[in-house]
Amino acid sequence: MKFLFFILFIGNSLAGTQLAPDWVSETSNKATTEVGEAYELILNSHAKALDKMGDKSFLKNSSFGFDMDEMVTDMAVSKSGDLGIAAMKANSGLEIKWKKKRFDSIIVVDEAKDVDFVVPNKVSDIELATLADSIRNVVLASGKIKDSQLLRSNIYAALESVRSQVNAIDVTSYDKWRVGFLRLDLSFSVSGKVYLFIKAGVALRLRMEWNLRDVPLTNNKIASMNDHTKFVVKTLAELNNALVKVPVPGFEPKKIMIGVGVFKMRFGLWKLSAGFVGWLGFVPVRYSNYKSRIPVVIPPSILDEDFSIGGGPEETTDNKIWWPWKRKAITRTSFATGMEKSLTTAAFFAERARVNRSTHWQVDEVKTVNDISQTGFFSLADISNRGIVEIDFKRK
Amino acid sequence: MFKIIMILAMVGTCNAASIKVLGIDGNSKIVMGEMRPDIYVETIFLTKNALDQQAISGLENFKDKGPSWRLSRISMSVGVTGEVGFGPFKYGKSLKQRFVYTRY
Repeated sequence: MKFLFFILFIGNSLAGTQLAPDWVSETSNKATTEVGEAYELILNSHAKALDKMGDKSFLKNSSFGFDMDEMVTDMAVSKSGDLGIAAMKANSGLEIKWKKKRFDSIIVVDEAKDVDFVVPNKVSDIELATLADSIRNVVLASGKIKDSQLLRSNIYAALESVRSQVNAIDVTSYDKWRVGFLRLDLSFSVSGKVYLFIKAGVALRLRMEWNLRDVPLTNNKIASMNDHTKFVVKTLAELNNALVKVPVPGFEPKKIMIGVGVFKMRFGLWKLSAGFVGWLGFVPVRYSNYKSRIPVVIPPSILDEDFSIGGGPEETTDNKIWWPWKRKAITRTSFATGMEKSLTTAAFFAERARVNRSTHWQVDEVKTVNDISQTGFFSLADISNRGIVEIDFKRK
Repeated sequence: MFKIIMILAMVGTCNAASIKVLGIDGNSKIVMGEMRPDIYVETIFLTKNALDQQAISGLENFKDKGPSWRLSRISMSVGVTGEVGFGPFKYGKSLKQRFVYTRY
């Protein structure tokens, strides 16, 4: 009953300009306007602070020649819908990035990626071994791990596992979006054990991104798709649909990341209880690639399949209807509704960031992080949860 | 280039005209505080200046790695951990620096 109520509520909220009161959590009834006001207060305060800084940077006038170019603010959301600055231990549900307005087109902004290792699509055994050595050397440089041999073999085993999963995806592109990368956070225990997720309390973390080539879906490939590929294609199809329904004038989605778990070599949506592999990063297809493609229609038999959680099999009991936390799959309708809701919440923040608040600075990027429940309900991640869907909007 | 990530302290109680600060305490419970916007603005300003000085002291001991590499970006973030109450920042383990080298 409760589940049905929320589905109806989301449907109504998407039709209007205001977000539903339950957009942060399933139990919250906080008024949306309060969140909007809190957000604008933070934006205005940052604009004031940035204007106050002006050119008073010590670094700019020093011999080093550095200047502040970017400012990032992390915000957190509570279960009751309150929005505020994220304190140290809070997870960020919203991030805004300020950049200087550029009046001189000659200046090129140097984008430094927050990634330690970038891995190409196809990696040979030799390249994989070289990569494992590089990661080992970086980890050993920290001085925290002593057993070099064990560390090396664990890193290699983790990389080999990821490579086999990446290779299993034989379609990465459908319509206007594609999977651009698989992101992995490797963390290390003192003994040299490697974890494919951020383990609380572990001090060492390395971020890797595995690049995936743009391989479009074709009619020939539809009949022979494996489970990995089906998950990717179904997700791409729902993503394309949702983006058509939730436009944000002035901003365009730059990247959408979905957390994935894995079970017996099959991808699924990530829940905390599921084995975690990483994040699939979705990016727009280049227009020059997209425009020349022959449109492909995915059969309903594939689209209508449930999305598994963690890649595991669905429970075969009817009880899951009454006890939704037992579910191990999310219906297509729930996923599509959730995806639209995620985009709607992101659009809510992106739209308000368009207002010009500072003389020399502007909001350049808005990122929201969303969480998914066992019933398929998507919500802005509150500080007690880790989100599994991240959406980045970037100014056009 | 210079990047700053602001993460601020948890403080006091809330009212509508204040900026809320949300965090998690040692028992994994949500803690919410408040900060007057004018104090918040001033704090960001002072923190930025403090980070400038931190960066300069770091750069003075820094050398580019070889003739074809140069330091192109410094990314810094600051946070205040585990304290309820708003006052002078205490930097320390929450200060993070990232130095990015690029070929040229």
